[in-house]
Amino acid sequence: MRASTALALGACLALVGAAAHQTWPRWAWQLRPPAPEIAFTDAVSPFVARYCRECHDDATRKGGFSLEPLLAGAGSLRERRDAWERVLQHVQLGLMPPPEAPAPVPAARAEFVRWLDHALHPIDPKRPDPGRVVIRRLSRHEYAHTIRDVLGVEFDASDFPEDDTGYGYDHIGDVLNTSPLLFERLLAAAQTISDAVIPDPFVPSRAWSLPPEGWRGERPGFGEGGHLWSNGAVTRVFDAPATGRYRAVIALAQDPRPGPEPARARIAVDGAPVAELLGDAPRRRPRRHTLDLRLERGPQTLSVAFINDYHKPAADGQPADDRNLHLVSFDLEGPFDAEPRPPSAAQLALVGAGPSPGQSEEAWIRASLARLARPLFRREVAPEEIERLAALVARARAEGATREGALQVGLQALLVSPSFLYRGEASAALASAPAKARSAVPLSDAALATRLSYFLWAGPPDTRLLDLARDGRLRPALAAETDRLLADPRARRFIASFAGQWLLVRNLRLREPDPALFPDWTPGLAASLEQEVLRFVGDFLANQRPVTELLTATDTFMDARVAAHYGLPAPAAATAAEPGDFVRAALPEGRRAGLLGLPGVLAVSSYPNRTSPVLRGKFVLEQLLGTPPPPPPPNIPSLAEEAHGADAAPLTLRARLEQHRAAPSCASCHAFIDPLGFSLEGFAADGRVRTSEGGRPIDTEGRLETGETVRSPEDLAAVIVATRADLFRRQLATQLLTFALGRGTDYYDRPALDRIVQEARAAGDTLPAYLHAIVRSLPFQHQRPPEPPPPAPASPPPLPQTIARR
Amino acid sequence: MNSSALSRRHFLRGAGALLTLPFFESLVPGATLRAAERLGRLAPSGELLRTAFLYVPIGVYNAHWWPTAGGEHDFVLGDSLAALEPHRDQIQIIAGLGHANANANGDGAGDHARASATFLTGMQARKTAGRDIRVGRSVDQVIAAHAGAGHRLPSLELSCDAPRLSGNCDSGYSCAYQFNLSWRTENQPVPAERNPRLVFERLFGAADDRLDAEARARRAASRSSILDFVADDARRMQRSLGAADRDKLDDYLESLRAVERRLAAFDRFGADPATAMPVGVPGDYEEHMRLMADLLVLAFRTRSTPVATLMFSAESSGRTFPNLGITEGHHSLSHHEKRADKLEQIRKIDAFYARQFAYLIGRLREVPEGRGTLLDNTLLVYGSGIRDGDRHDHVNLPVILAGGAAGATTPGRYRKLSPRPMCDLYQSILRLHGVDTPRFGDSAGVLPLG
Repeated sequence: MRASTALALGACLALVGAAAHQTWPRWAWQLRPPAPEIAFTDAVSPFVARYCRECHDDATRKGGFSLEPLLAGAGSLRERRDAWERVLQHVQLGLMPPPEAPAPVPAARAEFVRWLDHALHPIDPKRPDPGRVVIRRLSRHEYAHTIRDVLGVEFDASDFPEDDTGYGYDHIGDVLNTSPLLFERLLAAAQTISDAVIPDPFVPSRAWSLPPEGWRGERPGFGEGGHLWSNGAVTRVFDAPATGRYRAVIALAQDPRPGPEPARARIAVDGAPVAELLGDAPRRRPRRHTLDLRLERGPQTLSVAFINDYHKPAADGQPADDRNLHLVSFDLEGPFDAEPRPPSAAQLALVGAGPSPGQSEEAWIRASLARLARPLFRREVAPEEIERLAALVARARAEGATREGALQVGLQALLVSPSFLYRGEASAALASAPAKARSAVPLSDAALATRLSYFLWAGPPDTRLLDLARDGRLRPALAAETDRLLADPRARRFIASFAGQWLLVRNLRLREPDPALFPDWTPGLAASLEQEVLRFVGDFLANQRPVTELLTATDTFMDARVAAHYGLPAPAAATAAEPGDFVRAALPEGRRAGLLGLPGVLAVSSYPNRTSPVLRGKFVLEQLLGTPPPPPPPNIPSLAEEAHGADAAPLTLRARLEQHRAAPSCASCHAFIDPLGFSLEGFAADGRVRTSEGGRPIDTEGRLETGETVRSPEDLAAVIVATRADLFRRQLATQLLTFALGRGTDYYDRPALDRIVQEARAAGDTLPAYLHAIVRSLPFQHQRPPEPPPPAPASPPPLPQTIARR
Repeated sequence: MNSSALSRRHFLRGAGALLTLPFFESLVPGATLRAAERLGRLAPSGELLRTAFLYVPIGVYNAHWWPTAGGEHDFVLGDSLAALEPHRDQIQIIAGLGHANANANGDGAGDHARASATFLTGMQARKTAGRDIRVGRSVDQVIAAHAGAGHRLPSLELSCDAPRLSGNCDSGYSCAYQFNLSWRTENQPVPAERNPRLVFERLFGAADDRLDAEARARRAASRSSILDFVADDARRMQRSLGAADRDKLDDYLESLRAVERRLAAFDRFGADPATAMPVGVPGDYEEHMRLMADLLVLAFRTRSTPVATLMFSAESSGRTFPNLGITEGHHSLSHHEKRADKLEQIRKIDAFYARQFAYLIGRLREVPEGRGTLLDNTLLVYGSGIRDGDRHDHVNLPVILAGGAAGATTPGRYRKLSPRPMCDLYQSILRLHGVDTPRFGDSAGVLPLG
């Protein structure tokens, strides 16, 4: 073995063993750590000068990277931390110095890494740093859940622009922006939602076009585009906002030779005929009929039927007669003389039908606004805030809105307010920040309640949580509340969001596997496979199972579809049931490795048309162990055409990968990525078991860099649990903390993560134990004091006229 | 509403018919023209210039993409670009442009994320998975800020990409870099709309906007007082926040103001074409692309916006093309290892994208405007932030211009430039829109287009 290869392999061992989330040595906590300046001068600077500077000085700048600004002084550790982090990563992973350059002995390398890590990541146990979370806009999922939980109406937020993701999750404050597009949608949503919650009894009349393309034929292929070539009807469901009179303007036409009588149409509402109309005009100048319809509130079926089809073939020199009916347009306007709409169930539950006896309208409005504002703002609302809202409502009332219409305006303002859209944990923390000297200030109780509920429910705190926060009784009750929240059905949202994103199975629905290879793959199957993974992880919430069983469990949950995918008969209890009825079932032999044996996991870590040991190996390292392989070097050397075998037959994927690993720059990483994936090769890109590919038997043997040989998910799981269980636990804690806080974790979170894992293990190593430990942790309950706001500009920038007006 | 109810064909017929109907002229606001004239935003020819930037991911198979023979004027199109043959007199193929800030420059892997982040900004993306994302303001947003007023929308951002995948993006870069082309500020990406129905509603109003006049007036009044109210809320809240949090609320306030301006503008234009509205995202990718192209034409035709972006697919897209018989993802194919079967599939994908581009050019060309066509007053910039997907390089990018740019370009050419920044092109486009900045991105000069 060449020396450089040996070095690279050694570095890989270090990586798998400890590197990415190295635990800080115990002495650092106990002893007074050396100052970063000393570390810089004594250890960091000399190493860099000796091994790195030759290529990375200002003159050479290999890779476009010069170290000279970094060597200017210890101050660069702070000022150029990003660059130093890259130095650390490259030396730590053995990527630098490159194989052809003089390399430090492993001990020197390790020493440098330790010192630089220390200098770059000073942790002071006396001043623990909880980090900072910027105020977070509700993600579109959180928005929909919040509307549902607080107002009791379903809202589909899929018209909102997709949220950007960071650190693998879609609710990371740093990348959640409020674009003008989103703002438009929020405004429209506020209107729709307030109309559903507090319906205006008097619906203003408006117009609808129901273009012929939107009508459906009574049989397949019939009446497309409003062209009725034979007798039959086209129908369309219309959702009337109120009971009343609607004016329909219907344009009908026929073709040139209709025969003895013009085309006739029968118009019906919910099957009851209301009129017969003639289509006695050509298509370019159709006959327009105006018709008054009485419609009931709610959806109803409108239909236009062609009732006198006629055809006479050409004969005696006369061209054929052909009578057809064309629905050219169908417009509605209304309602007129509408009956007042009754209050919605949501309104009755939230604010009641109107003022109670003896209560003035203003008092009712105020009380209603207070009832709505508290759960939406997730905190106690100051009387002054209610006054402002009441003034807004009063103005709408004065301008002619109905009582309900005016209250809608108040609700809309609440729904577009930053106090609703942003989780204002920062401002809450600041309110109680006593002194600049403190490194961590506790969150306010209201902010803590919000953090807890969005963590475990992806939704707002309920009344009980808000009451506890108001009365200052939340902190002592946190453990009990955590249990209560986890026992609630809303905790399923936590599983769906956390496990769906951590394990990437949310992507199953978006996969489009090669239909020729995987003809059985359907959206329904994808949904069931995703559900299986979520049920599987969800079981760890409900039952006291150690989290290592995520990798060793011998059971899973199956519905009929999933069972068929495993090649098993439908589970007894689900035999006659619909897809989606999941029951606990044993995993088939060869797959008894928890997540590693689940088809959903094996499928998301594959390409659409083939498996990839690299992708699956990366999945294990990145998602499960939290030790992502370093990114490939820039400009990967292409494997030349000659990579094909001498006999001109293309090499197997495995052989090509092995060839790939012959290149030293690739070997360092692929040597530990690929073997993990090889052991999962017994499963195809859709997660089904297979024994051959393209007529060749599958070789599932992978030799790990640490010496073990693994041939199946079960082998791999056994090795991970025996030798890397701590990495897995730490990764789970890191992912949960990222998810709970809505920010990426950083070096200063190490002590908190150490503690979370330690506490969770002591409490049974179960998923709830981890969640409890997260909730107890310093970063969950505290916030770094905000940097002082920048000095106010001398004169505020001018506001647009309309904003500045009041 | 049933999503299968209305196919593109139906919508097209509706829109196509509209393109010739006289009443459609009512959607072309005279006011814009007057406003634009007053502000000196018209091209020298007296026409209003509209510009669109179209992004193709993951580079191209260069051997078949570039012209194979001939000179500047008598070039022979490569077979990937065969679909552009009918429009060869309308295009300029430009070789030699590059984005130096998309290179690693010490940041290591992540060329896909950098390619899209740099494409319209010309700046180096800060390497972060979330905290402090930053790249630079994009050229379309500079145009929008300068010339957007007086239009229905200052800018229009479109995407035909698939719904986003969960998980991490390219090599430690936040997904924001890979999915967004437009950046309103250096740290605020502008999300693109991928749903044709929502694009249509943004432009011409939702069915919900068809209330009777009195109700509409009342609604507008209450909306404006709601906006005043929450702006006040935001300012109160801002006083108690630290710097990072204030940034987030600034973002909120800026968007609020943009919406306010837009609502005011909407009232002014307030027109409802009462046409068949497209429904949702078609299942077929080509249908989706053509529908978006139609909407882009409609937006330019009605002078609804001076500038647009259209992302065909996000950078590093794993899209398969079942209609072309391609079932391996684009990104995985792009690491072709010089294998003939993979390269052939990449060539097919390149040709596919070129067909969609040709379709858009064709549609713009069909619309008469002034003494010529809409295409004469349009500038399309089509390109990728990567040259070759297997090399991840950002020099000699595949770039095609199309359209007359209101008389500012001389199309029908294949120009081989010595290497220079892509931002030189942007700098000249900014000039055409009347933006006078000394520099954009890493521009070193102005690339003459005539």
